[in-house]
Parts: sequence; C-alpha cells; structure tokens
Amino acid sequence: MRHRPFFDDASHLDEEGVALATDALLLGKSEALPGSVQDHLELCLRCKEELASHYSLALDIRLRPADPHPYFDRAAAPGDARDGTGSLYRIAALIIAALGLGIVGYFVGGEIQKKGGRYAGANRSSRDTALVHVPERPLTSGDTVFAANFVPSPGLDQLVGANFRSEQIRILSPPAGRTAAGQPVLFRWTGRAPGPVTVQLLSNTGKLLFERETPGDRIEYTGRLIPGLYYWKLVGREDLLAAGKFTVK
Amino acid sequence: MPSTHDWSQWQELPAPDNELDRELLRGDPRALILRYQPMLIVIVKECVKRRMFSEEDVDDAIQSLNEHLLVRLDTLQGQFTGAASVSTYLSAIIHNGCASLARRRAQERGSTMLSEPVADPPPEPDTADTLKREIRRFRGILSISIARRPRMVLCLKGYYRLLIQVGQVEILYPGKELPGATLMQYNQQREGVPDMELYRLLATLLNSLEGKNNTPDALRKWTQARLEEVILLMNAGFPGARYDKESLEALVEDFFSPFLEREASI
Repeated sequence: MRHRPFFDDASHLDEEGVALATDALLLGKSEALPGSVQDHLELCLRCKEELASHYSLALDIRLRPADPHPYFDRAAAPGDARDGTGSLYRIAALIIAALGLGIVGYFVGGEIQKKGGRYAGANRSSRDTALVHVPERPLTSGDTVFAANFVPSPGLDQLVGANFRSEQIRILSPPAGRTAAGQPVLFRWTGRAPGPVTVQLLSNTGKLLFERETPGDRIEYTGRLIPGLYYWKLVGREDLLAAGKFTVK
Repeated sequence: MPSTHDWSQWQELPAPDNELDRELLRGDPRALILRYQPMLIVIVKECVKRRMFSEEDVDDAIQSLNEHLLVRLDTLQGQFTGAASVSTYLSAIIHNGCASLARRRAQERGSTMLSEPVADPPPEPDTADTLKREIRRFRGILSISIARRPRMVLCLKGYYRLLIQVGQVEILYPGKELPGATLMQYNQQREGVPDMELYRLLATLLNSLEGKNNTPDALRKWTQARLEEVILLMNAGFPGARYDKESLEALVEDFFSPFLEREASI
C-alpha cells in the first residue's frame, strides 16, 4: 500500500500527482490543488520540470480533462453517484459541528480577552521581540473543533525538521507538543540568516493564516487560535530556512 | 492489440468520458488501453517531434509502450485514487514510458541524447493557434507556483521594463493599498534608468504591497533566479533551448498585452 496519495516512495509527485497538477493547469485551478502538492511544487524543481513537460505535451495533443472534474468539481458534479453520500456527509458534519461548538465554548469561552483593537506593541520589531496584534473576530460555524483540524499535512510534515540551509537555523519555540488555547505563541529561533526573515503560520491544510517579517530572532503571536494542528515556516529572502509544527488544545 | 503499422489513421483522441474510463480501469483495463490507442500514438508522434525517437523507432515504441501498460495493469488499478482524469493519468504514464524508452535507446546507441542538442528557435507565432498555445503554456508555468505568482508577474514585467497597470496590481494584490506614487514613478522612468534604480523602484513597490523589506539587490537576484526557472520550465521536454531571456521577451509582451488594451479603454 502506498504511503500517501500523489507521491511516490521518494516523496516526489507520482504519475497521478503529475496528472492532477496537469489537469489543474489546463483548467486554471492550481490554487485548488491539495496543499501537499502545492507545497511540494514550491520547493521541488525536478517535479516542476516534469509537470511543465507534461503540461506542454497535454497542450500539444489537445488533451481535455474530465468535465465535470472528479477532484476540482467534486462538490457540484451533476448526477454524481456521490451526491447522496454527500448529503450524509453534510448531516454528519452538522452533528460534529454542534458537538464541536460545545467543546470550543468550554475551552475558549472563558479565555477570550478582548483587546478592543488596540495594538500591544504591534509593528514594534526589535532585536528581541515583536508583539503582533491580530484583530479579534467572532467565531463562525467554520471555527468548530473537527478531528480534521488535527490531521497532519504530509507535505508540511516532510518540511518539519528538515535541514535547509548552512546557517543552521534551529527552532527554539514553540515546542512540537501542545500549547494551551488562548495563550500567546512565541516563535523563536537561533542561527544567523542573511537579512530579515518572515514567519508564516499555516493551518494543517496549508492555509496561510498569518505572516510577519522581522529582523530579529523571535515573534510572539497573540491572536486566538482554535484547537488544532498548526505549522509554521521561517522564510528568508529566497529560501525556506526552517519549519515547525505545534498543536493547540 | 491492433496492428500499429497503419497508425496514420489513429489521429483523434477519444472523446472524453471519465465515468466510462473509470469503469474500464476497474473492470476491463485492456479495453481502456485499446480505447486510448489513439492517444498513445499521438504522444509517440509528439515525442518524435521532440526528438526523443526517430520515425523508424515509432512502431517499436508503440509496441513497447503497450507491453508496458499491460504489465502495469495491476498497479494502475491499485494506485489510482480517482482524483485525476483517467485520460490525463494515462497520458502521464505513457509520457513517462516514452522518456524511459528514449533513455534506454540512447544508452544502447552509446549517446546521452537521440541527437545532438541544437538550440532550436522558439516557435514562430505565425499562427494565432501557435501563439495562443504558447501563451497558455506560459500562463500555466506561471501558475505552478501559486504563492509567488503575484511577485513573479511584477518582477518579470520589471525585468523587461514593461508598463505595470494599476488594474493588474489590484488583481494580483487584492485588498492591498496601492502605492500609487511609486507605481507612477516606475512607469515613467522604467525605460531610461539603470538596473539598480529600476530595482529600487520595484523593491519599494513590492515591499509596500507585501509588507516586507527586501533590498533592491536581493530583488534583482530573486528576479534573475525566477526568470531562469521560467525559461527552464518553458524549455522542459524539448530538445535544446527554445527560449532564452531575449526570446522570452516577445512572449511576455504578448502575454501581458490584453491588460494594456483593457486599461486604455477605461
């Protein structure tokens, strides 16, 4: 059995991964590719070349992707045999959402500190610490605690702990373990990077939640994170310097 | 498998029918391979154009690829998740098979390439169809890297000293405050200033849009690296180098020209 979809044993795109990415380019839906595939294509020149070569061939032979597409149109495909199943999934999701709201209310309800929009040292980027204020927003139905919020991202997992640069950037914080909800998250690292670096915070699906540049060696994030698994990247001018992950419980 | 000696009649790809293809992949993969014989032959013909095979190798290549597909039937059924179109999936397998076959043939002949690499000129946009396809290819290659695309577009325009329209910046950086004065200065001075001044203006523009603090020199190096990557990808799968920095300029200008027309009409 294969380790993960769209990737071969060497962690490069397999033929279906290349095919899905080709379909995405043909349909203009690159942003809808799985996060693991997008992340990999950002970093892997070999897979980019293979994709570019196959995409060129697909154009030259006038290849047409499926219509509706099994992945990019999967929510709206007419006559799709999954429509009925989709309804069951939606009902199940609503039940889980209702349970999740209760859990979120228990963990977070008494912990929210309204900051009234004032900045706590925002934009003050010093050598030591940059406090970043993130404006409050009300919880929506999407902010519920799904088990899916804790599912690891294969693409991002492969970045965590990998060696990137000779500057030997080492992550000091946050630790990979749990972080209590409602507490600030301190991103801290050692090692020298040429020039300012950018901290990017991502959800477990690879969605960019926050990013901020600093000339220093740490940034404290004071926004509210719902329980789940998070990844973060330290990005230099041209390269990824380090990556980490942590959970919020 | 049918005789492939008279493959000239197999010109058209099968009409797309993903549901049928998935059923065949599950229940009758040999029928699926038969249904996609036209595509296999078309791909081999394209590989001849790309100098991966010679005309004399075509029949053997088609036979070898069919044997390759038959051998892989079990893995095809087991590995395919159904996310991609079956037709595109098969085309990727066939394309990979062609590449492997071409490498083996070249090794048997004692050379690393079927023929010596020649710096092919870029395709002449003498037909609307060719130009449209090249622009589509360029657009696709720009889209491979979603996160970097907005900056790549502006830096490419800056490298070739093309006009950067307000509307384009608004599309690339939606919701961001537009540094109008810097943009105007770039557009007014782009054609006459030295490179370092050009990149100073670009860096000011991008730093304002992205909330960063990149130096002009860092941006210049980043732009050079991305441009070389784009050229590498535009040439991927073709023998020799079809595009270089100079020849890419015409395609870049054509690619961005609709924006000029749109803004001129406002």
